[in-house]
Amino acid sequence: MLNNKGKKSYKGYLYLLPALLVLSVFVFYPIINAIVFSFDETKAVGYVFGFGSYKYLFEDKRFLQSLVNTVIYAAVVPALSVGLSLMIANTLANLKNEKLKGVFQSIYFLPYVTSLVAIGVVWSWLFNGQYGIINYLLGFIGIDPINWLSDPNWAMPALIIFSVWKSLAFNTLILTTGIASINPQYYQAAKIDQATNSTIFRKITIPLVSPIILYTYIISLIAGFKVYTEVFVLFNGRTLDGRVSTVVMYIIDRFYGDQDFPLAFAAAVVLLLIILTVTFVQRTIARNKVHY
Amino acid sequence: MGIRLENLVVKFGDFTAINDLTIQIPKGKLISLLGPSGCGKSTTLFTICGIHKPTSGKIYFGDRDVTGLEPEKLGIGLVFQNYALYPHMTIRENILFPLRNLKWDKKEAEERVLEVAKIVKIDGLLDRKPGQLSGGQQQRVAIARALAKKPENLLLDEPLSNLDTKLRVETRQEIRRIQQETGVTAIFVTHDQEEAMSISDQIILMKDGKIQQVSTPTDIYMNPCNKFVASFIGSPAMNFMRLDVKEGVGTVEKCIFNGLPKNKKSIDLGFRAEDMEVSEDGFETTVQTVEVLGRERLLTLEFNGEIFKMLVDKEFMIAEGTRLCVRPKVGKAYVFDTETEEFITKC
Repeated sequence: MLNNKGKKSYKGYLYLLPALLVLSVFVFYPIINAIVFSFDETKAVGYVFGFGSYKYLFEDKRFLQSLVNTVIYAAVVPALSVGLSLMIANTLANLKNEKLKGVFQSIYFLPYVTSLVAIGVVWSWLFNGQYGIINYLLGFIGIDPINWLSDPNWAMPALIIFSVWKSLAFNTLILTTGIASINPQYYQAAKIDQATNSTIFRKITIPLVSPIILYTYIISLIAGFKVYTEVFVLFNGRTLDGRVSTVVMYIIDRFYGDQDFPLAFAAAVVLLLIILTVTFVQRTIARNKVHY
Repeated sequence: MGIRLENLVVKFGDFTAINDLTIQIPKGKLISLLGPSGCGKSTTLFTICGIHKPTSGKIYFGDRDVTGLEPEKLGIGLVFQNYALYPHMTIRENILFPLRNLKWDKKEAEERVLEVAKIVKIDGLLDRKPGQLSGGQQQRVAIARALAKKPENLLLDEPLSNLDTKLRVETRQEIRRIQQETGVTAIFVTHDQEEAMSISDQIILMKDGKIQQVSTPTDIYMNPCNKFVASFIGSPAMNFMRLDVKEGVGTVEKCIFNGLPKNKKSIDLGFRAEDMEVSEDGFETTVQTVEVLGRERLLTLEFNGEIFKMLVDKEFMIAEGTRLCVRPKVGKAYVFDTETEEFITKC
């Protein structure tokens, strides 16, 4: 029996082999290589093999600013996006009119299936300091025009608004599905128990979709740390004195611009570690809170 | 007080689920809504508690017109078929939930939770989650939650159908006890006639969205008003046989039935398994099977391709395959119209 069991698990590894090979070539090998390379000599100051790149990295104002920007972005965008999505999803789920519900669901999902580049072009017009509709609307409530895309102080808020709007689509879709999968009897029971709509939302809906809230939040958080495309399409590759530079932008800049590979790799490794840590912490906290 | 339904009609699109229902449910009584699947009994219940809206007709709680009101305005207790306990809350939180919504004083609410938990005997389980309880315990919690806010009306939707047989018999007596103890007006939906018979003050028997008969368990058993009621109530089900009538007399072999309606050519004769006797003035049947039920034996008899069930004493020994001459006891057979299926007379 024991022998038989041993044979079986051997066979099991064999089935894993194709996936393992592909992952090894395209994921594990590059990661390990990046880590190894990150200890290599860096052009920047001519450090020799060792922690030179890392040391340089944490003395580099450009990197530190990119890191701070990324952290701010990852702290604000996922939280805002998931929170808003939850409210939209709940409103959608409570719509009685099925036709209207379908129409609204499609509208909310549109940004997800539209090219980010196209959306970026549209939003850069919306944000336009002179002709943009956002400034036009703000004018009605007496706010002076803001140079969203060229004023370094307003660049990050513009980026956050744009990114939250963009990510609402996917999060709303997932959360709507999550809310729809809650047994309607809980809602009937809560109504019979004379709960108000806000009580139902807080005490029934949120706890019952909490695993899905966590899922969307972690996915958004990881995407938040890896943000690049959003910045690129909205600001057309500019970083406004580094005010909207992110870690990934820094990596790309070092890699293709300066061709300082060890430095780029070191930055990539730092990002990897941050994402791993944050995800791990999130999951540990969540494991104690999200279950029923 | 009590609940009154007047000419209630509920339609879903073209389908009429409840057709012109008028019932009066007296305060403090336990009433069963009984009927086969799809007869509209659960729809009636959900309409009373405001989850479904009536197409026409009126619902009164006492003198208060509650037609079309939302569930949260009614203040009723409802026990769902699957209990619908909130899985993320402890039992205590589940029972507290309706009281919190009604903004009860915290201390009073806590005391009330203990009180109802004691009534349904789950006071030791208050800090568990629903997933950690057995079906029977969850059932009790559901009743406790429904009773917590001291509702005047308690509605139960097939509350026992997810329990096993033994637990079902126990729990239905528990429900009766709790109802008596609290004096709540209860409507109990079930498709199980035995369940309805054993616990209710009155049975409302429905079919295809219409009331068939409203009566006490004994009366509905003894005096069914039509063939459907007769066949639905009682286990084993009533035997039926088509009988040709001449001048008010019907004959099956040596068995003669007098006093049948003179204006009919044929009638349907119904008789219960316990109302049959072995008799020389009967009709000859073949014993197909003999089931030992303990207290008595249940014979399955075949006569001209028709099957009859007959209950006999446990001492009555008979082999399968033998011929047996039987007839309904005099005065214990029910005569039904073949077309309208209405009850006509006994014979």
